Amino acid sequence: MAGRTRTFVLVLAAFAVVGALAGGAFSAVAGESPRAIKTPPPAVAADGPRTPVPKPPKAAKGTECVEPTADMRRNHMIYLDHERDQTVHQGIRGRKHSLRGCVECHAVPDSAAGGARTVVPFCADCHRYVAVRIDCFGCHATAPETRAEAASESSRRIFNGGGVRPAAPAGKSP
Amino acid sequence: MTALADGGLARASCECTPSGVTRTTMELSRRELMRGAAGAVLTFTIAPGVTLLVGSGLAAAGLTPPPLNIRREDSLAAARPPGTAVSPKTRWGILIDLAKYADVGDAAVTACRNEHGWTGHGRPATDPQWIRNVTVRDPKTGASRVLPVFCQHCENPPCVDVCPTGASFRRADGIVLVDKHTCIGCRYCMMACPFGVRFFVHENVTGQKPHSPRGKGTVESCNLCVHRLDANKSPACVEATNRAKPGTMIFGDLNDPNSEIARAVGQHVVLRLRAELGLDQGVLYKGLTQ
Amino acid sequence: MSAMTGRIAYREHGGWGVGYLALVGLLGALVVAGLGGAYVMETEGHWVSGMSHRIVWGTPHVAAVFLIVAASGALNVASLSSVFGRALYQPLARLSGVLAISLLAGGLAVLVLDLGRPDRLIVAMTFYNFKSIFAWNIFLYTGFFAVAIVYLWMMMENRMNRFSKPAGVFAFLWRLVLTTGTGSIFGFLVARQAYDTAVMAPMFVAMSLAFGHAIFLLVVLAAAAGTGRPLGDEIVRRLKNLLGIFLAATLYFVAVQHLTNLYIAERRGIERFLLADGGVHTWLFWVGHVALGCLVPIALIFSPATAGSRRAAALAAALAVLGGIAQIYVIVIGGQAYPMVLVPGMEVTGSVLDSGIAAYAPSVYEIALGLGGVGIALLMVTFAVKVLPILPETLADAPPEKA
Repeated sequence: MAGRTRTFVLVLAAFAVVGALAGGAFSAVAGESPRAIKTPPPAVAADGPRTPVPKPPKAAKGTECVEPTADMRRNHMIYLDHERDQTVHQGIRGRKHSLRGCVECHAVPDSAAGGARTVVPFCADCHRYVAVRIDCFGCHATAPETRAEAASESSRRIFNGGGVRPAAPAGKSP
Repeated sequence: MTALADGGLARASCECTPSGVTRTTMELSRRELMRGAAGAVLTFTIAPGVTLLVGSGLAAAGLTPPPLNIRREDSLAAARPPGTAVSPKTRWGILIDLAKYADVGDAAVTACRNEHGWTGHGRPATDPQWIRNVTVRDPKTGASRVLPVFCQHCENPPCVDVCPTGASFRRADGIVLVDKHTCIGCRYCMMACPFGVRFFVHENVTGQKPHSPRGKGTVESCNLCVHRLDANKSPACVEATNRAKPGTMIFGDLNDPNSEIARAVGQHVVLRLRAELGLDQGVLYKGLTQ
Repeated sequence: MSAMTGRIAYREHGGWGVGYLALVGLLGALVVAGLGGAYVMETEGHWVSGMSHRIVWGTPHVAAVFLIVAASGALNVASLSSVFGRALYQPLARLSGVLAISLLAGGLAVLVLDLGRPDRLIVAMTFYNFKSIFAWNIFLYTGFFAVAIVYLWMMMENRMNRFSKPAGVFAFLWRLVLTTGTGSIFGFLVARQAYDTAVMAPMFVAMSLAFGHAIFLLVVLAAAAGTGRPLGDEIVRRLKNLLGIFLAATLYFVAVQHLTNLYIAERRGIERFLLADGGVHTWLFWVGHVALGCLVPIALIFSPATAGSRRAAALAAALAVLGGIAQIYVIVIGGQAYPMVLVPGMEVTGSVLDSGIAAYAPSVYEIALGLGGVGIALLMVTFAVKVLPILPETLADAPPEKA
């Protein structure tokens, strides 16, 4: 009896292993979205610590984040998720937290993109450190809209004028 | 709505946001307030005024303002204040005059492609065509018409019925969309759609438009330019075809008996593709047989 | 074994013979190939496959549907034993349950690995649209695992044997619903002239009975030969005769489906395509499915000349399996290849999405993925008979009670 129970458990374990292998394959495959945040590991200085502490590049000059930095570090994904669903399903736009907002200010020259400004270096720096792979940019643009695009696209003229960011804060506009 | 605008205003005065979208909106509400009427927020969506404001904002930023040739018909009468949820009181629809459409060529297709950035890879079988022109020919008489086919935004969409995760959904105002965050890429919606207007993204996508995310492994389709609708503007195809030939597409609220589209639908015999399926599409055609 | 099992002696397969290892190696290679195919399709995108906007579901879905449908039918013998009280089949009931679980696992693996975003499997498990038959099927499939595993436990654990009948009845009903649900995935496609028919559900039930039974018969023959256990002629005769009946039932529903469609003027186009000028689809339908998949096996099974031959029974089962794959290929691929009606009565041209018959050539990645599912299923069975007392000591004709 005990022997049979043991073999039964064994076979269940075998099924679990097959399942886990298949599952591992899914997630390995899945995570491999080429737009996922992937950058080569940074060089570690000979006398430096084994794990380099992230130093995300500064945002565009003259701007301040929508929330305090500490809050953003901890909760940005919650803010983004929350407003994401409201935007997609209820059409509520122009709120405080948006991925486009992140990209607008945090796009910096990206060597992987041939020097073009993208948000990837900013996101990747911490995400690599905490080993969290995101797939936002499998679909979302990594770069803010260029000025030429904004000017040529009638769609952006009104509220969605996101691509064109006034250099001065809104409050100083005439 | 006013409360929300006020909230935006409060923030605008104390901090700057990284979001261009947000900032523009707040700028508007601030300006409205500068006009001395908090209630004026209600009306700031009238296109000409808004256009001027944004134009001057851009000029202040040292940028070239975009062309200001918005025509009245490009802005929506049933404007929804920003920050509010869509309402089932609205039902967006397009009435396409096929007699006029014959003269606009690829205007709609080109406009859509430019707006959403879907491009081909020279592989017609797997390249997306959010909108396509097809020729419909009566085999008995030989008469034919060109028909733009894109998501028909059904009231009873089969794609929504079959989607296992609810990623394919109908927004309250009648737009059928894919929530790409929950799409698993099973393609059952493509099997269910009678019109072949859903597309699976067969390859990696780069260089997306910020307002139109697209990515490998999910399903996409015409979203009636939802980003434009939410900004109280009509879809890009409507704007482009009407620019090429006025009156080709009437866009508006089918639920509003006074809207141009509702009145036109009341006057003509309109064609719904596969009407026998009872899907009650938002995209209607007139002039197939003339 | 105790008296409660009816004194049937079960025994794991003992040795690590060359044959066993070769089988494991072959099946393992299929699994690796399948995972590789899936990996390529997921990283490159599905454009490397033969699938397109027109042929939305391709070879992986043929394999997945076949395996899932067959999984339900593989439980036939257990149901006959537990639900219908046929003692003759009792020694094989455990194998029947294991085969059902394995085939379902193989089929689901293929289905999931072909998703555009297989990494979001968790989304499929946490977001449900209950109007979707697909969402229902997620429950039916995962539930079938649970039901079949519990049923297997009731059969294999002496203290639980008395519950094996209610568990068997529940599993039997569950698998009927499961196959109904799988057929309805196609039956509910109201827009497509090739599908949109309630007969899909019972047709899939009949197909499941036939395909699953054919695979079961092959596995029994192979297992008996491979593990050197006696196998009586009587049980083979009964099993193959049942297969003949299930194949005839399948043919019946296929006939009903096509005759109905031929009456519907709107559907004459698709029917002419499938039955007369569809090229490979027409060949697969008449030669693959109807002739080699049904009529020839039925003849082999019931013709006096071959009725007593075990080799003929094996050939009939193998043909039924191949014919079943051909049938599902015609249903899935053929059904999509013919253009849908856009404006009734009108010819539509101008885009690859509308005009003409959709071309489809399965890529090596898709085929590998499909075979990988077969590999997973058979590897699980091969492993199970090694570590679990699933196969009886003997299946000789003498009543099992005296074995």
